[in-house]
Amino acid sequence: MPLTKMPAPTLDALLDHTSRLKHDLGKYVRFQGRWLPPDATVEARREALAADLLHTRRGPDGSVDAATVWAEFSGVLTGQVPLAGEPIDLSDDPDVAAILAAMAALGPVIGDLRADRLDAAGLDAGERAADDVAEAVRRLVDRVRSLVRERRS
Amino acid sequence: MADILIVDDQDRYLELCRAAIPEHRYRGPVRNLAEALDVLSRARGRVDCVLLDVHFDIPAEQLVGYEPGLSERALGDLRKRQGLLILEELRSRYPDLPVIVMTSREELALERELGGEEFTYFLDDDYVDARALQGQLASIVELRRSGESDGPVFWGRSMAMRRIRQRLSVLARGRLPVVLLGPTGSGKSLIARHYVHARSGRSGQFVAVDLSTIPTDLMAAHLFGSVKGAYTGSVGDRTGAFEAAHQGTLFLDEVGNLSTDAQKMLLSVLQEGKITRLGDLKERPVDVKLVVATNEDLAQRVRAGTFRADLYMRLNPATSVVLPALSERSLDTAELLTFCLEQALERPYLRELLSEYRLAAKLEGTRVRIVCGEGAPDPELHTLVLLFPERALRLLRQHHWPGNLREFAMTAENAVLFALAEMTAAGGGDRADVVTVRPKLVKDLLGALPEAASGPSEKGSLAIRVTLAPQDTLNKVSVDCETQYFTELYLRNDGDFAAMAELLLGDREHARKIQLRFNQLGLKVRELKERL
Repeated sequence: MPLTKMPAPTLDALLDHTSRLKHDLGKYVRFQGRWLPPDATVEARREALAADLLHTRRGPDGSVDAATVWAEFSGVLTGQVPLAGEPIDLSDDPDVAAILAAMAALGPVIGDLRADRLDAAGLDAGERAADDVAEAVRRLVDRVRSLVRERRS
Repeated sequence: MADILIVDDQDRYLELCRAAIPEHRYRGPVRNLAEALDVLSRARGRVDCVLLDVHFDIPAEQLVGYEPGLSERALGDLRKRQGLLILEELRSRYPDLPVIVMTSREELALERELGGEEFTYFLDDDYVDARALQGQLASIVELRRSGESDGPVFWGRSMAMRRIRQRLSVLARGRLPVVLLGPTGSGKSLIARHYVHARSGRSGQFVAVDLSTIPTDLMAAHLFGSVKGAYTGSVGDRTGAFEAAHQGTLFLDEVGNLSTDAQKMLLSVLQEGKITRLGDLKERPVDVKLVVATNEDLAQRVRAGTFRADLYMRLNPATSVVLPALSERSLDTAELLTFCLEQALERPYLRELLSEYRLAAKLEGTRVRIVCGEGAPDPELHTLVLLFPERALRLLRQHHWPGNLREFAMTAENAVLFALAEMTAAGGGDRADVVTVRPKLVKDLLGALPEAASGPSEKGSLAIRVTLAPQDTLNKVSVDCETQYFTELYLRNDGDFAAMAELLLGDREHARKIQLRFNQLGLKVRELKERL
C-alpha cells in the first residue's frame, strides 16, 4: 500500500514506528563514522564502522548489531507483522527498498567485521551502505511526517 | 575550556565528545534527572552547558513522570520524551543554563509545542555532526563568557544582572539621562564609565563628579564653570564639568547632594541644552549624556522638599536602574572572585610579589591559573595555581558584604597578597606550584571588616507584610508569612532551590524538599521566573 493511500491511524502508527527506526538504527548505524576527521586512518575508520555496526544499540544488558536492530523493524515495513491491526507492505516504497538493499549489503560486512577480516574494499562498501541506510531512513521518516502533517492540517 | 555536563542514558556522546571535541571538560554522563541535579548542585554554577539526550532507556522508577501502574505503552512514551521532561525540571531550577537538546526541533515538532526558551538549543540535524556541535558549543560558551564582564564591570550569570545590562545598553544610546540606584560599592561608577559611556557612541570625554566631596558653595562653579571675579577667590575663567564633558558623558555621583542653586541650574541645562558660567552672560551649548547615581531614595527627597520635583522628573526616573547589593548575587561568588583575582594579579606590586615567590620556589614560567571552590589540579608545566578552596569560598558566600563589590574586590586582593606573603615566608607549601588561600586567612580578613561578625544588617533582612483579619486562622497567617519568605528567597537566590536548601536546611541536597514545600504553598515557578 503506498504511503499516500494509508488511513490516518495507520500513518500515525507508521510515523511512530519509523521514528523509532530512525532513533535505533538510522542515527547509530553511522554514528562514530560521521565524527571522524576527513584524514582518518583506515584503522580508525574500521574501528568506527565496527562500533557502529556491531554495537548499534547499547543498553544495560549489552549491545546488539545493526542486522538485529533492523530485524525488529523490517517485519512491519515488509508486511510480515501487522501495524495498527493490519499488515502494510512497503517493499516497493523507494526508501524502504533502499534500506532493504543497503542492509543486505551490510550483512557480509558485519560478518567480516566480526571475524576481523574486513579489507579496504569491504570497508569502503560498508561505509557507503551504512550511509545509505541512515539517509534512506531519514527520507522515509521525513515523508511520513509530512504526510501526517498534511492530514492533520 | 568549558565545563559541559552530559545527560545521556548511554556513553556514546561522552566518548565522541572526548574524541572529537577534546578542548572542553566533560562531566557525566549522568543517567537521569536526580543525578543531573546532583552534579549541577555540587558544581555551583560552574557548568557552562548541558548536552541532553531525548530518549532514555532507564529503569522506570528513575523516569520523570513515573507513577506505579503505568502501562508499558505509557512508560515507552515517557522514555521517548524523557529528555524534554528533564529539560523542564532543569529550567525550573536553572533558568539560564544553556542546554543543547541532542536532536533537531523538527524531530520533536509533532510531539509537543516547544517554547522559544532563550537558553535551549537544538541540533540542526538528528544525525549528530561533530563539527556542527563543536561550533555550537563554542558559540554558546563565548556568548556565556562574553556576558560575564565588560572591562572592569562584572555582570555575572544571573538573569537579573543580564536584564540590567540589556536595559543599560538601550539607555546608553538614548538622549535622556540615566539614573543608577543601588547601595554604596555596588558598581554604579564603574558601570557609568565602562558600560554606559562606552556604549553611548559619544566622542567626548567621560567626566565624573562626586557631589558628596564638593562644598555646597563651590558646586555650581564646579559643574557649570565661572568667569574671573564671579566669587571671592575666583582669579580666572574656569571650565565646568558640563563643558569638559561636551559630546561625552557626565556622571554625577551622589546626586542627592546637589545644592539648591545647582539643582535649579541643572534643570535649566536639561531643558535648554546650554550652560552659563557663573558671573557670565554668555550661553554656551553643551551636548552631554547625563548619568546620575545615588543610594538615596530621591522620590522621598522630593516628598521632603529637599530635591526639586521638576528636576527629578527631568532625570527620567521611570527608567532608573537599580543595582543589587552583592549579598543578593551569591550565585556569582566563584566567578566574581575569579574576576577580581584576575584583576588583582594585574597590579604591579602583586606581579612583583609573584616573581619573588617564583624565584624563591624555583618555579619557571609566568602563567597563573586561578582555581576557586575545587581541589588543587594536577601540576601543569610553567603554571602557578592560585587556589581558593571551597571552605574559603563558602566564607565569602556567607559574608554580608555591606561595602558590596568594592569591599569584595579589596578582600580578594588582600587574600592574594597575604597568601603569597605567607608562602614566600614559609619557602613554599606541600606543592610549590600551588598558592593556597587558607580559610583561616579569609576568616581573619573578613573578621577585620565592620559588620562581619554581627550577621546581616537591616538592609540584608527580609521585610514581610502581614495583614490580619479577625477571622484569620493561625495557619493562614503562618502560610502567608512563609509564602512571602519563600518568594523573597527564591528571587534573591535566582531561582536556585539548592541554594535555598543550603540556607534553610543547611544542605544543598535538600533542594527537592524545598521545591515540594514551594509547590504546597501554591507558588508558581513560571510566574516568579518573570520577576528574576
